[in-house]
Amino acid sequence: MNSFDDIKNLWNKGEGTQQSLSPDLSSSSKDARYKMQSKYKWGTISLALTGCFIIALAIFPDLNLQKWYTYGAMGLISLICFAQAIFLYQNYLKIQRISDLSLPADHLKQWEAYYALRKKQNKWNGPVYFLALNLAMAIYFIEIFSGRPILNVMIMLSIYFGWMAFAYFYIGKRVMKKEKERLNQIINELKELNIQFKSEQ
Amino acid sequence: MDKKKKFTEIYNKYSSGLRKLCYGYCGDTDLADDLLQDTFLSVWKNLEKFRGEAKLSTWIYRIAVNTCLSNIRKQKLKMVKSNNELLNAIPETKTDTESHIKTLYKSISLLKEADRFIIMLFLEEKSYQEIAEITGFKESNVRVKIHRIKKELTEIYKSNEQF
Repeated sequence: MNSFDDIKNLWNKGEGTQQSLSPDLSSSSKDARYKMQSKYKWGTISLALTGCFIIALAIFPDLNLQKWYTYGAMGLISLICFAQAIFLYQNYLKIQRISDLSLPADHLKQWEAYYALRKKQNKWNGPVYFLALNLAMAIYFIEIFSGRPILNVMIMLSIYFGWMAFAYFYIGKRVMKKEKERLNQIINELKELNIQFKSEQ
Repeated sequence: MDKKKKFTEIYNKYSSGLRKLCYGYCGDTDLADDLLQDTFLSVWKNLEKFRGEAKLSTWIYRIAVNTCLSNIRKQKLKMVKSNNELLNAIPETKTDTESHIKTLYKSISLLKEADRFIIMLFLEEKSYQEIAEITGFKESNVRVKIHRIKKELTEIYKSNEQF
């Protein structure tokens, strides 16, 4: 094998056909893009359903809560769920708008912009969602725990806030750090690719 | 012509060449099949948008290039694995021609990403103009690049063949 012509002959001998006669369009794609879209889609649906469920619970006649602020807290929790659902749906749409028909340099630029946006969102979305949800939960607990033995209340609150603090300061921080590294790596790789496709166009 | 019939025709005409492009890009047969599947999924979704302003093959190959590029992370993870597998597996499991072909694909996957597409499109006998339209490079630049990549690929192939 000495020349490029030999390589060309070899390329022509290469088997390009797939076993199946046509692609299965009904099967779920393994593509990262569709996986991300699917994650956002189901996140949106489950959060919207959770919001609806909490509203249904609040208007259920046998709930028998006395204080207006408890209902307010339930309303706030469902509002947070709906807000987060809208947020996820917007991300779903952002991915959907990335065009496969653009020139490679533009296509890469669109992905780069998406990941840069995710990096920005990661800084505020998690903490805001966590704080707002816990504030609403704290208001909700005021009536739920009132009149109960103080020891039981203390135990319940310790478990709840202990778990929340662990979830936020340990698990959440670790996940966010990992996510930040992943996003940085993807952005760098996309930049590197974009340089290749943009250089001396 | 209905969408399904048109799509089947496109698949029958282009799947072989596109699979080679995906395989050469990632150097892994399983991932190449995934990329091919995703390419045709995108073709199916965008078929109504094809207005005939460009050649159909240009349009389809550009979708394939973009699909491969947007799967960069999965491809990089698999590439390390498949490079190692290649060195161990070829001699005892493949015939001479098959192992040469596999070495060729592996050699292509060692080029820079943009170079891989350019040389594979050239090997698929696309014109300079079509390669330029698919990749977004100037036609004059494509000519220069192909000249350079031919040399580079031949050298990589020779060094891989020695293993």
